[in-house]
Amino acid sequence: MIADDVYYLTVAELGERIHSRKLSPVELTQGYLDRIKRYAPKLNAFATVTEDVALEQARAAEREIGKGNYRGPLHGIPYGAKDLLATAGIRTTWGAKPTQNQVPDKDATVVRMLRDAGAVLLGKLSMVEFAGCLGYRFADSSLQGPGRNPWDPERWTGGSSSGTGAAVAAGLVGFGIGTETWGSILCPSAFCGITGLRPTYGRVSRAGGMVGAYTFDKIGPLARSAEDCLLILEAISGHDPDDATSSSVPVSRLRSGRSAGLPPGFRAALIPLDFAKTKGAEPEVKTAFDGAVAELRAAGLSIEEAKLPDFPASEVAGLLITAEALSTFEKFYADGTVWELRDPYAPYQREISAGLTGADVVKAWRMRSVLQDKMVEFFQRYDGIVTPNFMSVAPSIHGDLNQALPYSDPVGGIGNACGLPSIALPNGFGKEHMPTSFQIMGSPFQEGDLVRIGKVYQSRTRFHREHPPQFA
Amino acid sequence: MSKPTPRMKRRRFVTLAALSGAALLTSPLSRAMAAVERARSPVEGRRRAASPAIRKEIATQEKSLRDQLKVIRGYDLPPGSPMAFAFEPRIAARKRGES
Repeated sequence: MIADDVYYLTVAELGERIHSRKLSPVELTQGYLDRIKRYAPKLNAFATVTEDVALEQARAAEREIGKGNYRGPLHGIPYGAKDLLATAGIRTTWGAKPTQNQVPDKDATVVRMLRDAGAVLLGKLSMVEFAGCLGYRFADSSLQGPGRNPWDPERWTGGSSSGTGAAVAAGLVGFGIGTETWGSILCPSAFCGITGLRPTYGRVSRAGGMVGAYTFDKIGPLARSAEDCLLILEAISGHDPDDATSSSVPVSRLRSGRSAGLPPGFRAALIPLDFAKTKGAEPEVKTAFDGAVAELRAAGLSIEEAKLPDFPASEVAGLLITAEALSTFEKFYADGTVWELRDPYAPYQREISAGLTGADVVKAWRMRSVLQDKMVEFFQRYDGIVTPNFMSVAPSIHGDLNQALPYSDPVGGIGNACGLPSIALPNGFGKEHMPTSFQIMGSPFQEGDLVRIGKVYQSRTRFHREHPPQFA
Repeated sequence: MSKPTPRMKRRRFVTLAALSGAALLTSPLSRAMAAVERARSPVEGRRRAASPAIRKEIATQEKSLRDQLKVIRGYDLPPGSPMAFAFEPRIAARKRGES
């Protein structure tokens, strides 16, 4: 019998126990499956539970490890994958009714790489339909129902990697894989009080993943510590001939993240946000953010107030995502199945965007280049950006999300338009004991530095160790 | 536990109203007619009539796009400024002399 707190251990801790044979991958997998049966329906966290696959992979891992063939830190660790990553012979719904019966015949590269690392697939995790790329206004815009937050199931998990956020926070998986076009890794990480890492665009192959917006989609880990994010990212990174946009920057550059202590000479820019004047901003979130900044400064990190380049990054990112997504999902407009989506406005996106011309899209591409230049210049002065993730805690699942989250995303446009990596770190609790979070965004391929800062922060705080009491 | 918002109540009401309306349309003849309609024009057959609330939101989103476009179109760039991606011709693998 495994004690409940074991399900909340980090990947690093689980891996150590598995490697030293103090913990059986089969028992751990069975334990997570039992928890999934008990808790996942309360959270709408899973689209499909792959019990047979999981037990088979766990038994294989146990046999191999028993023979001394330990593959590495993910060997025997159970995980869940967002339901837009193809899994051979396993239903892959993309969170949407028009695609609810898809059964791919090939694994996504990420799924294959995780299998090669010995990780155990517990199931496919719920998500916002089509990863929200056609827009969504309500938490229930998902085939699996609204993502319910383990800290309060009447509140939203965030999206679009909703099930990934819930499953990690509720101790239903050892770690989860999510994706982000704009906010879909950082948002559920923030609202569910877990650690998430949005990698640099191109760091992780997207072959076999649903395309939302070609030049924005990223795949990354949601886990229980910064160290875990690195372990997972190392296993899924690298150039893939099946994804022409995957980068050939060596995976070994991530190794710097294994080192202890702050990255030498790292200079962080603090982007001040006006909580007092921002509609919907909550003072408790500011208090938690100020506390995190003070903690990092006390640890020796250089943080100074700075201003981001004055540039309409959100407009550029928003327009390009809209154009790319409308092209991606064109088929569903053509055959009328877009009307099966749960979001009442998504079917009208094409009509709403009718005024968007080809010249506008090309102009946005040219502006994106200007923004990249400005950010290259910015990163000559600073190595990273520290800012709150959201200015309020997770909203109710019952309301209009645009009304519940009325403020703009301060760095999301820049971060996603430029393909920058960012790590979300839990930093306290706000209203009604809901988690708060902040992020550190870096320059391309500097995930190692972000992880090092995250590890230092998490060695001095316990927020990442807190669990929702209902699921303890 | 938070209470449903008034907006949600309204949405539920609209859903219930739609369902009760749908009940009137479930006779075999009307179902057959609906199937014929769908086959004739798949897109239009599935299309839901936009409620005033949805029309209002569409107008809001259209305005938001117009605002975005105003910013994009108004941004000054020199002719020929670079794009954020580079097109690369693909090299064929064929060797000369092979058929």
